[in-house]
Amino acid sequence: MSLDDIRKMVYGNLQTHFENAGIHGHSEIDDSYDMVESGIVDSLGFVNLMLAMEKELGLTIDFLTLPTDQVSKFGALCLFLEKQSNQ
Amino acid sequence: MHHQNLIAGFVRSARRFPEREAFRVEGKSLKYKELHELSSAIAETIDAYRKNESLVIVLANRTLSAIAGVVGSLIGGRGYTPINPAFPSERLKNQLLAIRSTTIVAEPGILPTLLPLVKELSQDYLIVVPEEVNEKEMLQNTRNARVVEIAEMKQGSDVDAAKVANDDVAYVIFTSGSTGVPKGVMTTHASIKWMAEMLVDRYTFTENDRFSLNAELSFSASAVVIFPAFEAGATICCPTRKDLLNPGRFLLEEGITVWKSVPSVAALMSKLHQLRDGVFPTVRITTFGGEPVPAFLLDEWTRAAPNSSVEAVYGSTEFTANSTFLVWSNGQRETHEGLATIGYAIPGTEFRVVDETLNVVAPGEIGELLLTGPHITKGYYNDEEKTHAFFCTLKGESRKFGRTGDLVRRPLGKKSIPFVGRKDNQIKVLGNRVELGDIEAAAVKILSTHEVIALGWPPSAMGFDGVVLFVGGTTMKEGEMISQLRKVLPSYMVPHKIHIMEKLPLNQNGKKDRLALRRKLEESVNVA
Repeated sequence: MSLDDIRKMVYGNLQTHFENAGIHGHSEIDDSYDMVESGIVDSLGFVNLMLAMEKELGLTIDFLTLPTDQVSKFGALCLFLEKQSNQ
Repeated sequence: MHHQNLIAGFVRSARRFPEREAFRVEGKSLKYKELHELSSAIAETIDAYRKNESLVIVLANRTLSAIAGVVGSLIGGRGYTPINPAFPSERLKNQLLAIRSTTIVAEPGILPTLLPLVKELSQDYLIVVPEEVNEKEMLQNTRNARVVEIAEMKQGSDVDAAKVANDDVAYVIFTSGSTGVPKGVMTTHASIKWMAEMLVDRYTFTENDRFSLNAELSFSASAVVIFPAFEAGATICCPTRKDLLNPGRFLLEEGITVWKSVPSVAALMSKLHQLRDGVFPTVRITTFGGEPVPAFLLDEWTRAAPNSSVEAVYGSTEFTANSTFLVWSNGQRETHEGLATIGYAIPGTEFRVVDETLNVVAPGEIGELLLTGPHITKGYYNDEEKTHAFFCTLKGESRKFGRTGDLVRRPLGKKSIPFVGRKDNQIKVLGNRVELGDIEAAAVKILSTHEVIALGWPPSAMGFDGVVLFVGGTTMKEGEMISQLRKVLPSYMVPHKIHIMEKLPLNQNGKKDRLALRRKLEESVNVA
């Protein structure tokens, strides 16, 4: 799974939320875009996103290895998911 | 009668352990001596401008300003009342209007919201900001706001905690009110001091403990973390909103030894596979409370944190957050329909289970839980009617009890107390206390129709994950209603779905039929 595919998937999962924030496609999202500060996800929204990603990627993800300060950044999260899916 | 100030415990710790860390948040931290100086400076600044103010509004959360505001208020002999800065501005404004105080300790980030709000109010406010403000234009004093930034504050010295009376209010915490008006619960120095000392004793907290402050400052659960921790000279580690996306990682990074949260947080951790065997060896004390605690989560946590005692705690703001305990890891694995029972009353407190006419019910029967003891609070801020309804006396007993509104089964013999439900329409949404009437009152205002019913949905093991709204006979679109409600309700009270109907169903008595709507939601799941 390529990084671009993952970015598309994360965007797709939260499409309505992104669209409400005026973002209409994964290519419009900056790596440093903060999904918590912009109100795209809260803690329950984050869990739901991750469960959906696990299902789509056929993975069990170890979140304890994901540094806290990176969780909410779009780029860092996608990169983390890409690494996990190619392990 | 004078008595020792609740915060005297902090001052004692600051003199014993000046170099130890008192509070950590956002990668920043304050040592005990630094927090003592900063809060002394807040107290002296308020003394200089508002000598007679008895209550300070703390408009901050998960920041250094928040903790300094709490300690600074108390050290000066004043109570504090926290308001969550994340509230929509309309709710902030209503809350400010409900409080008879014009002294605010604010975090820098709230100034752009607060200053325009204050302009609309016809009172003069003192706003103390104990951290540096980057946008200096915020510091210009306006007609009715004097803003004092850290650089202009009085120099803090090593001050003692001011004398207070036992019955003085230490904090006022506002909870959701059933008519849309938030209720402020007044907790005295005597109650919270008793509670803090009891907890230090119960868990033998020391200066080596590291507490996780998961609750917002505006919830009473924060008080039973902050004050025992300071009493013991321990370190409080406060997660940011982002840290709470990945609580397990935060726990590991901070080396937490004392964990207290709503079980909803543990449920999220469980879904993220964070509750694996032995992953949290540093934790030695865990308490879950604020909503019913599922047995499976207590079991998972006991395995994930094998060195920890694990307890379910029950309580409410009206009883200083803690009223009963069930020590799960010690073999008290008592359950009722998959949930831990609420356990046993804290030694030194008492409970009764009564019927509608305040007669004690027979063992095994269901009734309302009444409590009394040092943890009983003073009632509701500026609301004699609600305070009067809260307290009651029973036949043949002299002491005053407080009503919980919770239905329980009176235990048989020395068994623990099984929780049954609520007397009213209060629910828990991800651990947050929500009056459905609060949401309905907001909707009635916006839609100008009384055809509204709010329900918790979808259900979780603990309570509910969210709220939905049913509206009859409106032309307003769902998206428009939701964005209007967002302006007046905290996020956890905003409906995630609005069902628009021609007319709401009525029951046999001609009242709006909540049960019928609940069945409708349940059926829609079964069909799917």
